[in-house]
Amino acid sequence: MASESGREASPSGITRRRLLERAAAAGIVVGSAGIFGAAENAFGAALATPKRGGTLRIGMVGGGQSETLDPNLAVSTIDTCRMLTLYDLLVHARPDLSLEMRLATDFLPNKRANLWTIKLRKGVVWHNGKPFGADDVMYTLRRIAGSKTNGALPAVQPFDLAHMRKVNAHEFELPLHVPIADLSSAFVFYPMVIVQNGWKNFSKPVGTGAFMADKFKPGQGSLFTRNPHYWMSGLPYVDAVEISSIPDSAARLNALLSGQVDAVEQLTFAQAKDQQQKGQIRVLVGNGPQIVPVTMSADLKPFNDVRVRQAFRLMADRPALIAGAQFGYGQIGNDLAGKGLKWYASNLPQRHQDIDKAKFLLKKAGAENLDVTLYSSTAIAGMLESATIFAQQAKKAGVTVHVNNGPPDTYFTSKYLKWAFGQTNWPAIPIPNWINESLTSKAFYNETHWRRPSFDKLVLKAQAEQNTAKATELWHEVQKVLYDQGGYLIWGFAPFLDGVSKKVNGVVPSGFFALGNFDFQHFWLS
Amino acid sequence: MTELAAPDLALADVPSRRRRHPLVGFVFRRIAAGIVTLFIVSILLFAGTNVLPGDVASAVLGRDSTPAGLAAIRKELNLNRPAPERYWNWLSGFVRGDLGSSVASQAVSGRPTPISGLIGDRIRNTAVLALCTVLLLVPLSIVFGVLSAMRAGRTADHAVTTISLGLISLPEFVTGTLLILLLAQWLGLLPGVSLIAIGDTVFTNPSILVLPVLTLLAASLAQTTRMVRAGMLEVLRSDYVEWARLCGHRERDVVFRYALRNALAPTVQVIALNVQWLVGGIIVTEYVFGYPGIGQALVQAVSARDVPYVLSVGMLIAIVYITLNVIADVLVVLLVPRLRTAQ
Repeated sequence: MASESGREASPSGITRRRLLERAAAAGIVVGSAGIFGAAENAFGAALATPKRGGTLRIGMVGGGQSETLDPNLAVSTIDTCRMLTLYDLLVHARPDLSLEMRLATDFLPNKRANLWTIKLRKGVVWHNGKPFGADDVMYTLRRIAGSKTNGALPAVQPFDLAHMRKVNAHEFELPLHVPIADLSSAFVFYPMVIVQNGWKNFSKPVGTGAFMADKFKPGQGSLFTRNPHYWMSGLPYVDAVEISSIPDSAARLNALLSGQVDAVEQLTFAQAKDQQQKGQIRVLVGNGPQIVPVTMSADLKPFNDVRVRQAFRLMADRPALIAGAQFGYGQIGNDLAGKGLKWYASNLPQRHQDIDKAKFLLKKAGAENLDVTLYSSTAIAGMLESATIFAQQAKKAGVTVHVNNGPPDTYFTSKYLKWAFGQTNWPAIPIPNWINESLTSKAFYNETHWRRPSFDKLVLKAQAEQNTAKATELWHEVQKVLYDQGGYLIWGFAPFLDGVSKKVNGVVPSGFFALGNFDFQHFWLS
Repeated sequence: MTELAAPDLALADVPSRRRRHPLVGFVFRRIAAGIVTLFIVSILLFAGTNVLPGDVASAVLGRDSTPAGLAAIRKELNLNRPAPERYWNWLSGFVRGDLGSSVASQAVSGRPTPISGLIGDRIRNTAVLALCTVLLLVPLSIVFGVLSAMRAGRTADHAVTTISLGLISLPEFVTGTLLILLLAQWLGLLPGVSLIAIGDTVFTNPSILVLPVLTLLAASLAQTTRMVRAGMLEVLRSDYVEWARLCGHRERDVVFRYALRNALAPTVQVIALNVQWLVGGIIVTEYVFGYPGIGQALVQAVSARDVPYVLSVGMLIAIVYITLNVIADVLVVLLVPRLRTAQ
């Protein structure tokens, strides 16, 4: 896992591998399990002892009046940022994409992996003083399933919540509709943060997180103060976190450069490149599995012929797309999601541009001189750029691609899931969840119109397999099918690009989410 | 928007021999015209927000939207009602002083959130910004305009005209960016972004006002100065100024006692035009500087498809715009006796 991201230089010029070596040399054992935020601790210890106090000021894109502290309604990244600051997840993804137990301590399956006993952390208290326990988690799961708007709705669908049972104050049983052998990774989604049993008033939120809500004005900012009873002993370091909405990307960077905020999310590719050269601030490059792929619908012309899908994947010049659409940031893709994550099929050969073969396949499919429309938009950084570059590359194979630049605000709500040829975006998401959400017959986001009963069966089998070696084999088999026949053209992976002031310590670039997964309890100001 | 007042006034005045001041009729006419204009604006605003693709439900839910989720929000927010009904509900409330409630807030909080409660701070912030700009704009433009007219053709005049021409041709987002680069990033004198920490007011740290005010001033001051100069030059070349000079009045008296007052009439119009332009310029400027005013809120509300918010704030801006227009017309009539006495 770490080997992929280890190759990428971090902004300070230290690769993650070198960093870990240095930490090891300093006498710190970086274990794989049981040490919370091993990488962060190593980073801090390698430089200096953390300093306490101060207010950490964060600049985010913001979501206007619809910003919220209710996990069921959260949608923009500023909401995510606040969720992870106020509340805790059962399981948290580390910057290196491995998993860390937070409010859960253990996931124990039965033999068929369709009934799980989930053990919870003891000694955790809510911001209002109540003790945390199984009732809270069970309430949260039911609340997610009962809402029509929670972003993690697909993740709770396999849970049989009607038959969920409390064992004791810190343990409950979760039965599943289908066996899932790797359940813990289903809890890493931020809308699954745990809320208090019976809590409904989310204008006055109560969490177990490192910071407590003090002030909040949607579209403007929020002030959260240090939780003195936080369960991670000694954390957080800073006294308060102030999160402001700064919609304009130039204004965000200006705020950081002139010292009005300490960290900002979402630098543009151009800003990141420029600031890395100037060196006034630290640019966080979080290489991870985020993708902005092209989708081809397997049931619509001309993509209902597998040879056309194969030909299109061979027309893409992936390094040129990375260089042109992402200013050279990120890694090239192999038409599979989740590079660096558990179960990723890294054994499959890297696909490269092959115009002759593409032409040959198109000819065999009787689809020469194709003329297609690619639905694109500026909704996601690099989306329109990659569409335009791909259209030029396709010309070499005699294919005319018209790029339709749609309004960004409604890109994912108007023709999305209906078009034959479009683009999409996936954040880091565990591979089994991604496949379940986008590639099974009943998938919520079936962007490539991929409906194969035999494929569904294979996915269920892989998901139920408890033997890791066998499960790996099965998941690789699943991905081989997609690699050979699927409708996704995943040409590259996009990093998270954020800027932090040199005063900020304890932040590690993460491939899972922006600003080192918003793990502000580890941040400290020098 | 600035119709010439004279013909209106003549008509209002000729038939009636009543003792009503001629200005009163004129003011009533202008106000009536303003109300009709506002009504048309309200229709255009409503039509505009309805033409935008998507609605608040799809904006709030984004990609996570399911048909069930969308339907639930639309039902809760009465978005399924026919357009004329929604327009009437909003307009009848607005006329009674009820700005309605923000649907984007309601979608995420589940409770009606009155817009009046949301915009108070933002209106105050914008008012402070606008007021600071106008208070600098008026005296500075008159001083520079008069100076440059008196020194017409000399170095000072050339400097003023060249600089102002340059500034006019720069849109405010360019001026703003250049000012940030120079004063905030290179010299480090001023904050580059006008953030107001939560719980603070704009007066906690007034330095955040400097760059937005300078940005707004740059274009409006240049424009106004040029118009004042042109008006002043014309007056200085007129017969009565020549006559005053021939009578042996000192040049200072000629300029300030006779020429300036007549030159001010077109100036008031120009200043009014520029203040109205400020209403639009403020929206862009607030966005560039992240200043939490009403303009920034309007931009956010449009992307959130918060229709009642856009409508109500849009109407408030239109009211300010039209009111300024009426005030400017009245001031012109007051300043120029020629327009007051019907022939």
